[in-house]
Amino acid sequence: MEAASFIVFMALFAAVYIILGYIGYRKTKTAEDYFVAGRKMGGLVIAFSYGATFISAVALIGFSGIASIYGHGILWLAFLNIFVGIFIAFVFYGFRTRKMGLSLNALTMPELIGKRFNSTRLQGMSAGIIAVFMVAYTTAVFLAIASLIGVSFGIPYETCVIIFTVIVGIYLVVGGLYAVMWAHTLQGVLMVVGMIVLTVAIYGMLGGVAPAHEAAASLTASDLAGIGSPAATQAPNGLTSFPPFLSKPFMMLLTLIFGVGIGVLAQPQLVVRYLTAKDERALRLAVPYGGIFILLMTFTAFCIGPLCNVFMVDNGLTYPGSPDKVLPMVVSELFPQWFVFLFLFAVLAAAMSTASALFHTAGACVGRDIYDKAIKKGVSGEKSVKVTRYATVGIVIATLILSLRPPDVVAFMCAFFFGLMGGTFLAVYTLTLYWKKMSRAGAWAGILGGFLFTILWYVLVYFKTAPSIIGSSMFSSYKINMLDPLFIAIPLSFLLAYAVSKVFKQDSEEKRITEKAFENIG
Amino acid sequence: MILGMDPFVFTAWLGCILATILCVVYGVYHEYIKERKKKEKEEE
Repeated sequence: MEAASFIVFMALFAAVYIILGYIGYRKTKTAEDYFVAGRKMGGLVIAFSYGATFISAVALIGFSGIASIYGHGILWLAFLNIFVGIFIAFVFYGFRTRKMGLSLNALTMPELIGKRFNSTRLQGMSAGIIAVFMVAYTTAVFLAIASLIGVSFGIPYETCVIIFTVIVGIYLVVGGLYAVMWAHTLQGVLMVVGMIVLTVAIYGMLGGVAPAHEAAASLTASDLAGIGSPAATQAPNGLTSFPPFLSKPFMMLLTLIFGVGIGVLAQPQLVVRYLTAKDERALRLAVPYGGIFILLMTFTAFCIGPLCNVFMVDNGLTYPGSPDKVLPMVVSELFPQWFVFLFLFAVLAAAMSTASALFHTAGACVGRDIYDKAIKKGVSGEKSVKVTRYATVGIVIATLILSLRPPDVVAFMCAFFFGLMGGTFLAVYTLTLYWKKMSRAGAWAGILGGFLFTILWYVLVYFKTAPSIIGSSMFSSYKINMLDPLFIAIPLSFLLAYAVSKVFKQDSEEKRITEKAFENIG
Repeated sequence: MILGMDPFVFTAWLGCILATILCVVYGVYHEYIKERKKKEKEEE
């Protein structure tokens, strides 16, 4: 594909974003405008922004590639993405987060926790954890997309990284969350169109749902070994069946399904979307829109992943060496040029939407939560926005430098971002919203306990990370070292938050703030 | 095999569709049915 056509489309893309950035800039007058889009967003924009932030390029091409190896069993993750990631998230977390955010005038997730427990230190510490790991995660998102575009269009990797970072950085820093959320809506539409066309075309080529799945099920281990696919050993019961109980592929799927499926509830870049809702009706409307959006993203991506093997066997293609390259290879080999273009821009939209949300959240953590609240103990709204804009520019530059010369640690930090956020914040965030008697000491214990346990598990035990960090896992049994830390970190964090709150109870000021926090919650 | 998938995988496949229907029903119920009931109550 010609680099010239890519540059033309990229210029159009950039022009649209910069216009959105300018409109966002004109609308941004207060800190509330910059951080939570003035709390004026409607249901459709919230749903698309939440979905486009949630679903990155990793989810579309990375997880469809993983599905091509482990089979359709990963559809349980798509189920959790819709049921937990949308329904439970909005119904049980969204409304309370918005109400408490309004009562306490909180504009970020660390600020919500910090104000609920009357502790700017807790706010600063939470923000520090988020910002550090978010930069690494954003770097990994850029790495994936720049490699894909570089391979597809023959554009040097460094040029791709610089173009993406500059475009996202400009519209985000100038336009704040208004620009980010409007851009998400456009990006979401592109992602929906791309995935619908891709799914319909793939099932159409294979004769419909049942014939396509039967064709995948009929592939034998020797067929898959013939194309060099790891599915030959990783899908021992076939591509449309779940692996044997407690086998290695079973443990791998278990980790992926629960690590990402449950961890989604405590992602700071998603939680802030609840705070942008103009009213409760907007959040209620976001539930159906969001459910349909995620169905069209993860359900379709995970369904077509295993079917790629059928195309590879039928067309004599060999496994490209990495799961990330399976779907792009099948698309570029079997589809017309116009669709390859549409698909790549859909993936690009997924990457840019996630990256812009991560930049905004990390910038807000450094500018508002750490500098403004934890260090300066509160500055004016206008200055808070100015500081956050500088902080966001700093985050963008740091990400650019890391992306151009990515150290190995970036890959590890990205691998455990979702799990780390879940393990660190889910218990305390849940109790913040639901338990009036949780104390500041309990919140500290829950967050620190969950964070330290998750980090130690990744460094010492987890099979993907421990061997690269300390040489080998402390536990040789794969039933332990393949277990996601969330399974232990979340209950441990709940236990610590509860037990410490029972011993070190709320003081009178905390009790007063708790009453204020729950004043709008029935 | 159901639609070419084993029953456990088919449950997940169906679960995705049912979860989406749940989200849509939730939205429709609150937007139309609950609002209509509320208005009727107010009129009474």
